[in-house]
Amino acid sequence: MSSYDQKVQAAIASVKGRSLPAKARTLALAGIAWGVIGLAYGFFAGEKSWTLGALLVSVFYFMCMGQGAMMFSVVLTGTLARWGRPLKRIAEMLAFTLPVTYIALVVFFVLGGLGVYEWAPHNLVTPDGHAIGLEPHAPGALAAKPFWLSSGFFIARQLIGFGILLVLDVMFIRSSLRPDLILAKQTLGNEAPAWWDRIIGGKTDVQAEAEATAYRGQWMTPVMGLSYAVFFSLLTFDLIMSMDAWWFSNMFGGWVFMSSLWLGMATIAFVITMGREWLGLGEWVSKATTHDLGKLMLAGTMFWGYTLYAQLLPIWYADVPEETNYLLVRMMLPEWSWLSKVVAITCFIAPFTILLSRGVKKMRWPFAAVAMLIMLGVFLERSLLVMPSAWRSEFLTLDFIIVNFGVWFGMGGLVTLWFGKYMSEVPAVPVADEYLKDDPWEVHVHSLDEAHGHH
Amino acid sequence: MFLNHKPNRPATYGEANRDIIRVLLSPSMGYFALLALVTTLMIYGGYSWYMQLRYGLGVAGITHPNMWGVYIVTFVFWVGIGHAGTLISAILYLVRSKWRTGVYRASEAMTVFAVMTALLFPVLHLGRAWQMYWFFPYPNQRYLWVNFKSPLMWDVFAISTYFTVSAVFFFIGLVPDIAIVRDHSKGAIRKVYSLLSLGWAGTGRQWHHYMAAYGFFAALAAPLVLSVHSVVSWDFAVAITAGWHSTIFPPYFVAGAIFSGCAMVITLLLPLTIAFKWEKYVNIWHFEQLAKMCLLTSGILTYAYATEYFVGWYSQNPYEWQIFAWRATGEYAWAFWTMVICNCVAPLPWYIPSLRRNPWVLFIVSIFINIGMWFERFNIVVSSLSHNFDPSTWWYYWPSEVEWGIMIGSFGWFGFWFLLFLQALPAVAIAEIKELIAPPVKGALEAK
Repeated sequence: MSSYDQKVQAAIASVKGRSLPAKARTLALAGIAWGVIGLAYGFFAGEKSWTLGALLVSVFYFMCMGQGAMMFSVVLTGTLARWGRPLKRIAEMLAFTLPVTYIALVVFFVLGGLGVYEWAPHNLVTPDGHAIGLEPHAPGALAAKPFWLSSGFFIARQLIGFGILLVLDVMFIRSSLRPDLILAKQTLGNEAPAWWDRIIGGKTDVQAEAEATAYRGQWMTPVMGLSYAVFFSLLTFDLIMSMDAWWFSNMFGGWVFMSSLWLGMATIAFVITMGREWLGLGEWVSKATTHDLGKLMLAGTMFWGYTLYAQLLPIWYADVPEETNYLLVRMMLPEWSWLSKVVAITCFIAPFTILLSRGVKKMRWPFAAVAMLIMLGVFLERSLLVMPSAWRSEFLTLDFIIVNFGVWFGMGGLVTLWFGKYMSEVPAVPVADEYLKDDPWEVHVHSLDEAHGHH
Repeated sequence: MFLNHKPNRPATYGEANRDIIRVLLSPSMGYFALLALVTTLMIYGGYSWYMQLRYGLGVAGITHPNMWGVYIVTFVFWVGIGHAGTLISAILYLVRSKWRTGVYRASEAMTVFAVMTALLFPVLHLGRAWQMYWFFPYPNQRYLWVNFKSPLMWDVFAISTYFTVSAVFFFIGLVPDIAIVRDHSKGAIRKVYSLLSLGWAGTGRQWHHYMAAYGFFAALAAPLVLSVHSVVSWDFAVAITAGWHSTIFPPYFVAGAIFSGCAMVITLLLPLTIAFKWEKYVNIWHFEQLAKMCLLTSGILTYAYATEYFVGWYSQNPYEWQIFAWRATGEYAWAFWTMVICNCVAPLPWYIPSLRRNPWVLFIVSIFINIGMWFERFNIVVSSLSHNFDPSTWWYYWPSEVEWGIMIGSFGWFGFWFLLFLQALPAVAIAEIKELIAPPVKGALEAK
């Protein structure tokens, strides 16, 4: 048995008896408790609009995280990349938390989430299509699109759009898992989790299934990329941009879906650093891997800044009130301007500066810290997009700490438990994937050593 | 062998040297015929410019409200073409993508010559070309100073920076290869190559510094790929003109530039590969990767077109919506639909592997893309100005003979430089090709 095969067998064997570490479970449960308390406080002792805004931030955040991680796996598959192949399964299992987020989105609507949208029928749009009482240019803009911004159609669009993405994600993950589970089942036998059989479907030929998966991956990649761009943009335009119904930016959808990919990468970086022992990644995720992932995170940081600036500059230069209003509220009003500065630091200045360092990308804990910084930064950035539209009054510091962070940690706890359960029950790397192996085309100096008989 | 869809490799370093160098300084009749053609086009362009200089800018079709016309369209087109080279050479180098090796040198040359072509247009558009030095800030007794708030000035700096970095990057990449050519040449020409090779001897120390410098240049050039066309896009996006004022323009322009640049690489390199029998270095595998790059960027463009329409409708801004509706249905609808068919529909056959591996399909679709990308810029520049806020100014702009002449001449100018390059410098990177071959360590190959 070659050393590679031994590594694969070890990865498969480590599935036996693996579960989410006790510390992570405790933290997740504590987060859930905080979330429940935060929601209860928000709904019964705090402000409902604020609380719904906080819920929307977290739902949207985890939607972005899961879908971004999914796209990371799709990109690895489509580009036939080898360097990041050990991260593929983690990305897919993060995406597999999206059903939890889907349920959270339904809960958001059930709890009256539409209340945070100004166009929603709390008498701002009259039954005959005339809007009243909104800020610049809104009445005309809203009156002309009563059907697009009507409650039923709006909710249906979110559930169907997110649902389509979810179905595609599950199809992709299922296809990716199958050859690995067939291979792992041959080693684990009856010790394998029972749910594997539903995915394996009686198949036994690992090679044939790996080839079928590779083929499916090639045609699913563009389909998933296109669906992500279209549906995620629509979700963003609807769930976030339509909160200020008169405001529009063409780049908004693209900006959010690209930063979601960046968030997905940061979350993967967080998992591989914190869960190194739990998932037995020591043999697979080298310093070179984290270095490469760190470089991509740096690229993501720059792209976030670039696409943000691409929106700011034309709006600032043209100085059209219906466009500047959205920015002025967030960047100039004292209630929110401090948050925009914090976002600039956490999403761009700090990660950009830190990730320039080669060492940070190779050191475990500093790398974990910068991943957490990006995760926090994106949470604050999404908060800055949502909260000033949901709550048009003074900043509520206590509510922000109890409710916003509470809901974020609470959903984070739920997602962690779900991720922990399924991640524990599958091989942590795609063991049957050809691209997990070294590139046969690479010219290595050691190949010459071998030719000379040196080892 | 050309039709292989796996990368090929030559067997030895010597074979790589011989195969790539043999085409230098040995022009065929076909080469001279092409050179005559592009020179004729260039002369026609020069004559058109002479007419404009003699009779004034009025002979060009640009007049109120279309103060920008084919010159700006063609300027943006050539800046766009100039994108693929740096993307392929710098960004793909940084991400260690192997398929760049065979195609990057020709792409870089294309970039440098395309930007040289683009730089002609601001000068041509001035009318009084002799006053072009007014573009640059310099201390002078009349206290003339450029308007830094003007995006047109940003262009001057962005594009001249891009040209400088691209040209230096191109030259640095060439140095080891020029040394190989020097070592294989004799007489006076050897002296020229000696001068250009900057004393390159291929020592370990030189390679050490060279690789470090190359990496730094790649890192420096990579953000320029984004910045230069973003700045060009802001020429339009910062204005309040309907159809121009769009936040998605920077990434959309960059994607379009990469799309057109990669298509142009296919258009140029595919016939060359067949004519020069370079199949060990550039084969269908490389073109397939370029086609995939085009598919990705075509998807981004299609997304951007669709988003503009969606948000145009969603905004309910009457000026915004009328221009988008008019583009698709008005007098310039033919240009709009040419753009859509060439950029969004024509590349779709490439989703089928057998079609993107077919040289004829590759070549024909790449021509469609080149045409489509010129029309994209025509669609943006011309339609918005022809149909601006004041209906009394609406009119139908059509380029004059002088404008067409200068545009055609620009293709001649580009082709002229590219043909000279093919005969003077290695169009495939010999030194990097060798990185794909096992080094000739004594006994290694025998042992295999």
